[in-house]
Amino acid sequence: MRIDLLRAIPEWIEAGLITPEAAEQIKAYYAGKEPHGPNRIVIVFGILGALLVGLGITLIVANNWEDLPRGFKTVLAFAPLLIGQLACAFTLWRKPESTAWREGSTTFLFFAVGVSISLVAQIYHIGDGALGPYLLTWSLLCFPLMYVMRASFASLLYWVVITYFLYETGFNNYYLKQTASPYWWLVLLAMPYYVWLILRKPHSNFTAFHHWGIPGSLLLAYATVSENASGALLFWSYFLLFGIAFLLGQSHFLQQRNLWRNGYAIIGAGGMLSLLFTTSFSSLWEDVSSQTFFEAGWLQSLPGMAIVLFLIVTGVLLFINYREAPSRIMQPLMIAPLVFSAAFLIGESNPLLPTILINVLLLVISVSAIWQGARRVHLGLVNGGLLLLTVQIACRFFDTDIPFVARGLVFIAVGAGFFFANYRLLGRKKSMQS
Amino acid sequence: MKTTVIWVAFALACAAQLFVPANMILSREAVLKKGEAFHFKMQPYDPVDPFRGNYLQLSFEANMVAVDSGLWNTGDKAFAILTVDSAGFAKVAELSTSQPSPGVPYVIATVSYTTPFEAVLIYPFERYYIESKLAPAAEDAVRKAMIDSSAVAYAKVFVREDLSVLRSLHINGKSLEEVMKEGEVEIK
Repeated sequence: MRIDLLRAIPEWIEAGLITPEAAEQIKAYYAGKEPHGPNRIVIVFGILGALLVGLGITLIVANNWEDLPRGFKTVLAFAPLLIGQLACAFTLWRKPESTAWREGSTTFLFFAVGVSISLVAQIYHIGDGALGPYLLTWSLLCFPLMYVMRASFASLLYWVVITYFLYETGFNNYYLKQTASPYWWLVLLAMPYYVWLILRKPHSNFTAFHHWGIPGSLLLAYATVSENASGALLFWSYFLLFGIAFLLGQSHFLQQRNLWRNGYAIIGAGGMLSLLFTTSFSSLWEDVSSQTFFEAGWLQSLPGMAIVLFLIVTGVLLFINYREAPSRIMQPLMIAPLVFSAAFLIGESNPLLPTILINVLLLVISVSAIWQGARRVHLGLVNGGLLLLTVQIACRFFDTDIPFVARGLVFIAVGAGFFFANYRLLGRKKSMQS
Repeated sequence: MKTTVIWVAFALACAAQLFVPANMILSREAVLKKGEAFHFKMQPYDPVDPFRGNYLQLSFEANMVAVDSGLWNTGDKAFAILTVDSAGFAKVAELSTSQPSPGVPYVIATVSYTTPFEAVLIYPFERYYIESKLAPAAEDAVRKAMIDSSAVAYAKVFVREDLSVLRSLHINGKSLEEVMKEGEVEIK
C-alpha cells in the first residue's frame, strides 16, 4: 500500500494535486517511519523454514530409532541444539540487525531445545505420563532467547508452550495432581518483552499476534485458579475479565489501525456478548437467587477477592477511558461489566429483575450498533447489530410461551429489517460516492 | 556494554540448554552403572506422545500396595521401599512419607488413587519408548506373554537414591528386542 502511494506521487505532482515540496515531505515521512524496513517475505520464509525444519526433526526424533546405540543417540540429542546455538551466535555476531536471521535462527534453537530434552527422555525412558515437567523445562530453557535475540516469534512460541503447560497441569491432570502455579511465574518472565513490543513496535504484526495470544492464554488460566468457585460467581468474574480485556483494547496503547489486530477488543466483546446471551435466560438467575454467596465471608474467598479486584481495575480503566475521550464510555459494551455486576447484586433477591436488565442491555447494545452503523454508513456494524438482535429474539423464543404465528411474524419483521437497512445504507453510500 | 551483556546472557542461556540434557544423561548413566537392578512384573498398552513418539505404557503388579485406609490421598508423593519376592520380582515392602535411610532401595512414586485397602501408585518409569514401526508388534509380543500363564514379562529397572531408570523389557528371560527379532525370523 505504502509503495503504491509512493509510486503515485509523480502522477499527483503532474496533476497539480500536491506541490513538489509536499511530495518530498511525504517521501521523507514514510522513509523516516521505517528506516530500514525489513523485508516481510524474507522474515516469513525464514521463520517458516526454521519452523518446518524444527518440526521435521521433532518428528524424526519421535520415531525413536531402535537400531542406533545409546551412545550415538545421546550425541544426536545435542546436534540440533549445537547447530541452533551456532546459528544464533552467528546472527548476534554478523547479522544482529537482520530480523529474518534473528527470528529464523531463534525459532530453530527453540525447537532444538525441545528436541534434545525429548531425546534424552526417550533414551532413558523417563516418564510417568506427565508432560508438565517437560514443558516447564523447555520453556525455562528458552525464555532468555526472546530477550537476547529480540525474537518475537520465539516469544509467541514461548506463550504457546506455557499455555500447553497450563492445559496439562491445570485441566488434564486428574490423577497426577500437578500444579499449574508455575504458569504465573512463566508469565512474569515473558511480560517485559511484551511491554517492550507495545512500546517499541506498536504496529508490528508480531505485536498484534501477541494481543491475541496473551489475553487468550491468561483468560484460560483464570479457570485453573477459580476451579472451586461456584458456577454463578465464575460467570461474574469471567464477565469482568472480558470487560477488562475490552477496555484495555480501547486504550491508546493497544488501539490498532485495523480491528482484527486488536485481540483484546474482539476477545473482550465476544466473551461478554456470549455470556450476556447465556445469562439472558432466567435459569442462571434462579440459581443465583437460590444461593447465598454474599453471606459467610464470601469476600474472603478467592473468587470474592478476584471479583473485587476486577471491579477496581474496571473502574480505573473506565476512568482512564473517560479522561481520554468522555464520549467513549457511552458505548454500552464499556459499561456492560457494571450493569452485569448490578444484575448480580439485585439477583440474589429476585431472579426476574436481572433477567430483564440483561435483556435490556443486549437490546441497547444491538440498537446502538445499528444506530452507529447507520450514522457512519458502516454496513458491518448495522448487520452485526441486526444479527445480535436476531440471536436475542431467537433465544427468547426458547424460554417463553409465545405462539408460533407470533414468532413467525417477529422473524419476518427482523428479516425485513435486514433488507430495509441494507437497501437504505447502500443507497446512501452510493449517493455519498456520487 | 550492551553488546557484552547480550553475549553474556546468550552464553548463560546456551550453557543452561546444554547443561540440563547433559545432567539428565549423566545422572541416569550413574544409576545404570552403580544402581541396584529390580525386576517389575508388568502389563502394557501402546499410546503415542506428541513430542516423544510411540511408547509402551507399562503397568506393574507392584503398582498396587496394601496400605491402611485413610493414610494416603491422590497426588501424594510416596517413597516406595523395595524388596524382592520369592520369585525374584520387585515388590513394595512399605510406603513411606519420609526419605528412607541410606542404602535402602526405594522409588519415588505418586499415589494415583486409593481403595479402602490399597494405594495405586504411578512410577516414574511407566513408559518404554520404542521405534514407531515396531510399537504394535512389541505390544503384541508383550500382550501374548501376559495371556500365556506360563510366560513371564518384566521390566528391568535400576534404582539409586532418588533416581530410577528403566533399562529394558524382558519376556521369558529374553529382551523384548530379541523376542521381536526371533519373531521376524519365524515369519520369513
